[in-house]
Amino acid sequence: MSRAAPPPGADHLLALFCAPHLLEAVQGDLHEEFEYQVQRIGKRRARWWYWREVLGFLKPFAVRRQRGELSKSSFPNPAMFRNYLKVALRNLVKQRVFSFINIAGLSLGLAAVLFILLFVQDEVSYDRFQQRGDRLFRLVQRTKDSNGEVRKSSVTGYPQGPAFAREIPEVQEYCRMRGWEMLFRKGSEGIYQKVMYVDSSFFRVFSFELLAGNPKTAFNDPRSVVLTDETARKHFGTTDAVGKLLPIDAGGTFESYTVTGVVKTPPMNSSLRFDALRPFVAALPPNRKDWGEDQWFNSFTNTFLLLRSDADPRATERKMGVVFQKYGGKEYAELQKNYGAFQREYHLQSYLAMHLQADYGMNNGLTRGSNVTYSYILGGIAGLILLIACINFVNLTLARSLRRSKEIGVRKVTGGTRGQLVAQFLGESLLLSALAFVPALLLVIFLLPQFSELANKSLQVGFLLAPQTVGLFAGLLMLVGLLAGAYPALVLSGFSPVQTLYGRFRSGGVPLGGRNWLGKCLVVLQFAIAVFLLIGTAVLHGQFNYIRTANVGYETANRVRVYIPWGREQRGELLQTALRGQPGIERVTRKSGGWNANTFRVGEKLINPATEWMDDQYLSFLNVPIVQGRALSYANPLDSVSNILVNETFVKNFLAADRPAVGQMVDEDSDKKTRYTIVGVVRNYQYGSLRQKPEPVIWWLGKPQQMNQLYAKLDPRYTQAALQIIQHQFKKLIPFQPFSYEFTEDDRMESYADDARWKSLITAAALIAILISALGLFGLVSLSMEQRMKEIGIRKVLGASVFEITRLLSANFLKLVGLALLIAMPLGWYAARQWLDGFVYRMEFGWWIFVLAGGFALLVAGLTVAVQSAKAAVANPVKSLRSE
Amino acid sequence: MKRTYLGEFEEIVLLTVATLEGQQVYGVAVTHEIAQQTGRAVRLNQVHAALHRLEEKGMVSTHLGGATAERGGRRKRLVTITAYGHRILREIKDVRAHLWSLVPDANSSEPLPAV
Repeated sequence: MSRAAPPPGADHLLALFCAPHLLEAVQGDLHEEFEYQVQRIGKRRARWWYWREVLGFLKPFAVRRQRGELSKSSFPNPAMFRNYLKVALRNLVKQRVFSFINIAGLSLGLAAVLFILLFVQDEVSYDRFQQRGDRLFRLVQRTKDSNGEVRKSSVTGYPQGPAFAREIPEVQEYCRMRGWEMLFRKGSEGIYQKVMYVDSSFFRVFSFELLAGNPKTAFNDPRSVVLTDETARKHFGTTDAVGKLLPIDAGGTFESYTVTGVVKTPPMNSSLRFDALRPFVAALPPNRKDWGEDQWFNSFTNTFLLLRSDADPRATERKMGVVFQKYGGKEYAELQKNYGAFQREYHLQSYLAMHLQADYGMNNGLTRGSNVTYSYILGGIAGLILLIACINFVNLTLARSLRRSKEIGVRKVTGGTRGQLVAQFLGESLLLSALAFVPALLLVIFLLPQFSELANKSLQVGFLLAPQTVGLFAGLLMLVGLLAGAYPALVLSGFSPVQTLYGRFRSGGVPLGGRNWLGKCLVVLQFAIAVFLLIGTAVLHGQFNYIRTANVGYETANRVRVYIPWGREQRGELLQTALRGQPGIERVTRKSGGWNANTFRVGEKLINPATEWMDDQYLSFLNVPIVQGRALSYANPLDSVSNILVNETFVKNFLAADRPAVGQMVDEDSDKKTRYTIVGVVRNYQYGSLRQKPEPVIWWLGKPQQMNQLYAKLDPRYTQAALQIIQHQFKKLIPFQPFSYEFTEDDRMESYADDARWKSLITAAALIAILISALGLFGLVSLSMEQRMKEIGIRKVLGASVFEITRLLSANFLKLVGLALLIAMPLGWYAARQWLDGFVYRMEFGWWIFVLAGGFALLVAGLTVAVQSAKAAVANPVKSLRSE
Repeated sequence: MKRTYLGEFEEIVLLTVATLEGQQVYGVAVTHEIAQQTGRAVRLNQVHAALHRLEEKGMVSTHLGGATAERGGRRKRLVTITAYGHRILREIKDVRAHLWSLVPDANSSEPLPAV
């Protein structure tokens, strides 16, 4: 019969807490009783019994140590504490290089973490100041088309808000909202200001403080405007502006509106930011039909709903479906007949979650949303940098342990316990991370503007200096101290005093020599992280370069775009005429801004291509050829009425392949039912982002009032002079308007602004990572040289050349870096692939990326190692061999 | 004399130690004896704790016994009751006896003893 033994785990636990002078008898009793219990209740239950019984001994009488017994407490008395501090500081000063490497690395790592804390804090604080935020929702819609594809949108129509508020008791208030920039006049100067057009319930729904004016009547008059205190100060020099008149552009002329209130400027972390508020009715489309009570499918506005505090959002959503059927059902059925069986559902999106839920978009003047993924990626990068810095600490401390082995031996011989040593070394690492904290904080304060720009935020350092972050800092310090200090403390405190004092102690002698697997692994990990980030950098730069030089199918060089303001489109024609033939200006052309979406029919099929108006110069201005048929011209009267151009994608997607495209008919699906004839096919050019597939496009020949973009091709030798001429003519023909121009090349790169920021961020992170890794390697190599001084001396005396010695010393370290390359490359490849998959057009993903990233890492590591090794190798052997 | 407080369980343990005099008295033995004589389910750690308190009060003394082959060679902490412990037990008994004698039902016809 096998003898049952009590569970060893419980025994270990008992040995851990039980006072030594009681342990033997208590354990003996327990074992004896255990055997008795095994007889009585069986082995399995006896084990449980044993655990319970051991835990029962967790009582003061059993735990308390006898007086006179060696203290196992890890809290030192003041004298010892002073001694620890003194020794720690002496070590710091004596080994300046290593202290510097450790503190510099940890500072950079901590600074990275602090930056990310600021970033995340800003992200999660968005809109939190709204007092009714928990029951504030945005109305969103999901449309599932007949193919099962779901489109999410936050743009809703005119009738939804009022209908839901009227019919559903849970909905307390609704507030619709549109917003854009409007031109305000101040003297002879025009200033663009962000205006939000809101329902009169605005101040009951949102928490914006009205400093002056009556919240109930502020929006009663369609000609009223409410300013923020900032805007009021800008225009009137005072916040006491109620009752004053303000000229605002009304499309061609300025009209005066009465200031009916002054509201406090919204904070930076608000999704709703504005310079002025105006009544919603002032922003309705000119055609009364577009905002009838039945226009459930004419979407142009945001709708916010405030629910009662006891309302259940899910139940409310179900009721919204019923109301939708009741009032919009007729049109719904009609549209389903035309467009196939699509389905529309209304949902509520929490106002507080809106900022970080990118999928519904932020339209109609709301602040751009963000994505939680950014926080995760940035946090991950910061964590990796901190990890690299901590690895430096671990490796360098272990490598230097030989120097401290005597101290450890003496402490042990004079009665220091292992616990005390662990506490001492942990204390040292805490001290070091505390020392690193100061430069980290300074770094953050100093570099915050740059980081804010990269993160596309206006971050304030205030959050870091607030008293409530003290706990956060303490936690961060403990984390870093433990991460960096725990392992060295355990190893160092385990040294045998006999060996260390006898002088035969070699463990950890040569850094990364012999069996120090952990040290090697950590160096590999460090460089793998650095190389991973370097690969990311190379890919981002590569794709960016590809984007910049990609053949997009149209010319952008030396071309500028000038915006002809709203209501002055007719003046654009005068400007065009005035600029023609001016010195430095080669060509001038005009077209409509952006892309419009209209519905057409080809035969019975409904299609939604993009449409543009342009003059007859535009396509040749861009150097885009017509591949079939002919261009449009003002000389041919029919071209302005019923002839159109389409692009190759249009032909491929919508037209029957068996007939030539030219001559086919396209009907506009509106009340007019105009029929157009295709007279030419334009070669595809990628106007939008390279992330997208080419779109189908229809071009009309534009009338003057339809084209608000003026393009000019400049002679590169006289760019400045030409721009001045344009500005002069613009000011003369279109007074009170701010003049601005954009090079079309910059226009094109605008859609990659986010990618550009990520490129800079990842580049900075990769450089910091490789820098800290190299610093650590530098420390390890110089320690290794120091300890192999004599060996090198003997080798030289025996005839080794400088090159041989350098190779011998470098090989070990470079092997590790090589291994890191092998590990990082597949990971880097995978991550880069994921990002590149977002582009329809992307660079060739070649081996050069890895050569570049790996080569750079090897170069940095190689230089670090080789310089140190060579220094040791050229040293005069007499010096190292003379003493002893 | 300063009155020494003795909890009910401590009293039981002390009494048990007293009854076992002459044998090897230690944690397990006391636990089993209590279980046998009183039918109470007693846990080892309770007995140890009680013995510890009794030792602090000076009513029992303990010493480590010699090593034996049982229980993995671990020694037993043997308990003996001190003279003081005996006296306390007797005092408690006397007080109880006196109080019992005052209970009317328990001794109905006897005259009150002189105090």
